Amino acid sequence: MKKENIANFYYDYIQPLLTNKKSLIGLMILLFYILMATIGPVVVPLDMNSNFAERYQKPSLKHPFGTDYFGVDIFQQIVHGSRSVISLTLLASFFAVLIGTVIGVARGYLEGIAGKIIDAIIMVFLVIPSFPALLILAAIFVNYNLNVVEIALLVSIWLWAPLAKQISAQVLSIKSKEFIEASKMLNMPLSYILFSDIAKLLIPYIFINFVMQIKGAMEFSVGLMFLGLAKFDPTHWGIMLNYALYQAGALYTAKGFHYLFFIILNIVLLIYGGILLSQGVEEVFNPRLRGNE
Amino acid sequence: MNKLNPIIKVENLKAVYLVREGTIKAADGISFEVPENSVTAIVGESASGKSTIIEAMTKTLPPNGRILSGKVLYNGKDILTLSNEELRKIKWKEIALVPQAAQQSLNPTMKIIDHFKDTVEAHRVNWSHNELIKKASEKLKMVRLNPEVVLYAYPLQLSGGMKQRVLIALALLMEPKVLILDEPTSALDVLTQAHIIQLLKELKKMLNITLIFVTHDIAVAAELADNVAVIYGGNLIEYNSTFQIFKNPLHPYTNGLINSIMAVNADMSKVKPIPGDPPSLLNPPSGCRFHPRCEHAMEICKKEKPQLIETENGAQVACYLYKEGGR
Amino acid sequence: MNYFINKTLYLLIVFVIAISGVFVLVNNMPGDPAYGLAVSIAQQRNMQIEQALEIAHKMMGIDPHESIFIRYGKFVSNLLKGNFGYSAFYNTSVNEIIAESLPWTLFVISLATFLSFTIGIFLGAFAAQKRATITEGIISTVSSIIQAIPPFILAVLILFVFSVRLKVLPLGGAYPVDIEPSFSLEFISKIFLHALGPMLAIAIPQMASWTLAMRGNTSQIMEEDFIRFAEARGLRDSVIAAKYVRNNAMLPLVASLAISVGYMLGGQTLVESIFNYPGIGFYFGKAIAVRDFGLLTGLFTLIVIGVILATFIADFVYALIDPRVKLK
Repeated sequence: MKKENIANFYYDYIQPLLTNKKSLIGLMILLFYILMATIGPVVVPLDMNSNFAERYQKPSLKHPFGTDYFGVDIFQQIVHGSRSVISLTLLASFFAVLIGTVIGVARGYLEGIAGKIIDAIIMVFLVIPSFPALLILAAIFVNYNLNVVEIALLVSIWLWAPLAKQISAQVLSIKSKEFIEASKMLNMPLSYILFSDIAKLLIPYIFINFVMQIKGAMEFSVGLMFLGLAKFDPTHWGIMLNYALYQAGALYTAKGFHYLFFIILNIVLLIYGGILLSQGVEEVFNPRLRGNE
Repeated sequence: MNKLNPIIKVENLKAVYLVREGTIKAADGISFEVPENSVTAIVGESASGKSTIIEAMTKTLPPNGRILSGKVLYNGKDILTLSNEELRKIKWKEIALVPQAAQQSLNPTMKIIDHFKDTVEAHRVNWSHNELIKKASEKLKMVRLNPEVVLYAYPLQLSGGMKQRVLIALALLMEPKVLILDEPTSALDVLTQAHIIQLLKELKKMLNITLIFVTHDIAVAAELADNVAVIYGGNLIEYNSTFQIFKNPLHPYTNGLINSIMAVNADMSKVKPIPGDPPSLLNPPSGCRFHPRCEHAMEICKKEKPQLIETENGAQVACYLYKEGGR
Repeated sequence: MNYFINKTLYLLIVFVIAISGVFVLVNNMPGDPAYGLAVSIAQQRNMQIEQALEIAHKMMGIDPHESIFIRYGKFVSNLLKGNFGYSAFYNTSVNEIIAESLPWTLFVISLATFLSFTIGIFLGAFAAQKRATITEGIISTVSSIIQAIPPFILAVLILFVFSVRLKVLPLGGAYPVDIEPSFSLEFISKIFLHALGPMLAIAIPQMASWTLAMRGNTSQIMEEDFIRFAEARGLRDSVIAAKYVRNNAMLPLVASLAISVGYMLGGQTLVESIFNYPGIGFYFGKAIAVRDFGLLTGLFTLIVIGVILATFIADFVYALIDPRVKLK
């Protein structure tokens, strides 16, 4: 029985994702960075000592991405920074999806005044401009030396609202469908109805959203670091960007372009991987989008 | 059967749909003639290929449809060979097609009067605004709709039956010679169906028009049509006057169809469904496509497809039970 | 009519909750809001910092011993009078700063929205028409990639490539420092030039989004029955493309215009800071950096008002143009 379920799960969910071009490439990109984050720092050493003689070297065999203002190897920093970037981003996405789903489903189930109150709360978070609010929040805690989890939580506060709104709409419409009535008629407990019926329909949707959140989480966290409002790891790409622009003035010297370039390249590549994967997943679960069948 | 003056003559029409699994052979060499000012019903089950015939005739096949061969002669001219521009001139002005499922055929963001306006402008007719309203109102009244309410409404404000009638009014706007309707009654409730049938009967009397309609409901054919063409598995298997089809069905399939009708006062014991399933058009049976379900099937039926022949009474049938010119 | 009254009330309530929330947040920021001002006063008048603090408090209308509720009350009553507060860092009312900076931000955002929407719609419809061709593939893929670039990163790139290297765009500011502001053609063209950098940074990723969305919508609409019926009636392709396809495909996108503006408003902080463009976002960034609470709260309130207004207007306009909503 169990083996059958696993096989079904594979054919229903995993295999289509591997055959679709977009989701495959997106997945590969993400896995690449996850790999970089987990194994990278073990394999690649990090030497943060300044070496002014070697500063702003162009990419070479010795320094694949070149060196920065202080002569520190950029490639090493990127690899080590990927750990912070990946953990922060994935955690923030995870929290955002968690909060969004819980509130969304709760709204779907509560009618009347309680429902309207949740609606208003969701609306508040939708109306407040997320990034400025995040900045204020970060400024409050700037002296606290937050760790990854705490920063991820701060970021996720401003990401959950759109998901909650969509999920609440979905749940409300599913509620009116007939098979739930049937479940009720069969005298099953409310929790069973809640989890099995609705969960099954929402799972692909939630997964798509989780991957889409990567874009938002990256933008917010890198932006936050870029402004220097949350220092917890100097190799985080956002912090690297901050150094590149504001401390090292890499912008204003022609020599510094590779410094900027490789940081930006990795940031954009990671975000793009997330977008591709989410597009691919959406195509798989919503065949109308596939195009020319 | 009335053989005067065929306004439309279909010759050996073959059309397919391309799908991932292969080709659906929906129209497999269809030939028939439509006499002027008559009402012809094309009857068949769902997915029998009947819609394909009129889609091919009016060149409104979906993107994956292809016409392989055949001719569609309108007043002697093959419209399949016309250029897009020439076809556009005939389309609607002379031959109008009212599609199935009126629900989605109107632009949700345009008022009804604008639909009329678009149609008129497309054919370079120089009506003034007032003339347009007059003509549109005329046609709407013809289909028993109140122009004052309908003309300035948006599609969402109209019921299914009203929308279907709007489509017919639009079709009649340019006063075409041929009106083709695809399942005019299928998506409607029984009462509205009756209204539409009544309407079509009146139109038939009022106007000098040739009507062709496709339906799966043979009872509707019985009420409206002068002639009936029976389609099975992508082939035309019988073509005769309505009266003869019901009194004296030749093809075993037609026979089965007539027997499966449930009239209000029918004897239920005599109602017999046809055993078996409709054929797959992807991989149709060899020879006569009806042979797996036919109780009169012979060896030759499995091997070679029967050609359409004319019996002594003027009926046309494709079955080895009958011989040319005789019984 | 009922619909609008309900909606207005609802948005009002949301506004009140949002503003209150922000007020609480800002008040929790560490530090004394009048400290910056006090320092400059102490320096100017050569007095002790404690005295200066007292004066600073009086100037800003702050009583450090009063409860947060009273402070909130003052904040709300000020707001109702149209007073957005006082900036300690710039030593002037927030209203003045807004008057100076808001036009620049609005200028850039309007330009960006207009360009990104119109070009995006056009490209998207075009791509859908060229379905399953290489052209469509290229447009889709490039749009996808561009969508992944956060606006502030694009800002950095634009600044580097066009301003530093190619010297085509200015290095920052709303207009060149060496020209007297006037209505001359030269000055006005300089204004556009300076706005180009920030404008492109926000417009380009948004345009990519609109392109993809429009392409999706258009492809879906093209399969609809009413398109085939229009073809059956002999309507010309150009007419169908415009009235039947484009109008219907565009409709849902108009609804997201408000969200787009809200998003742009939010992203302005980084982009304007990078270009030193003196808009609302720039001053917001500065306020955070120097902990100017008065300015912070005032600007934030303004942005929230802006987003709510944009939402409201967008809903209103949408209800006007989509007959399906109009008649409910």
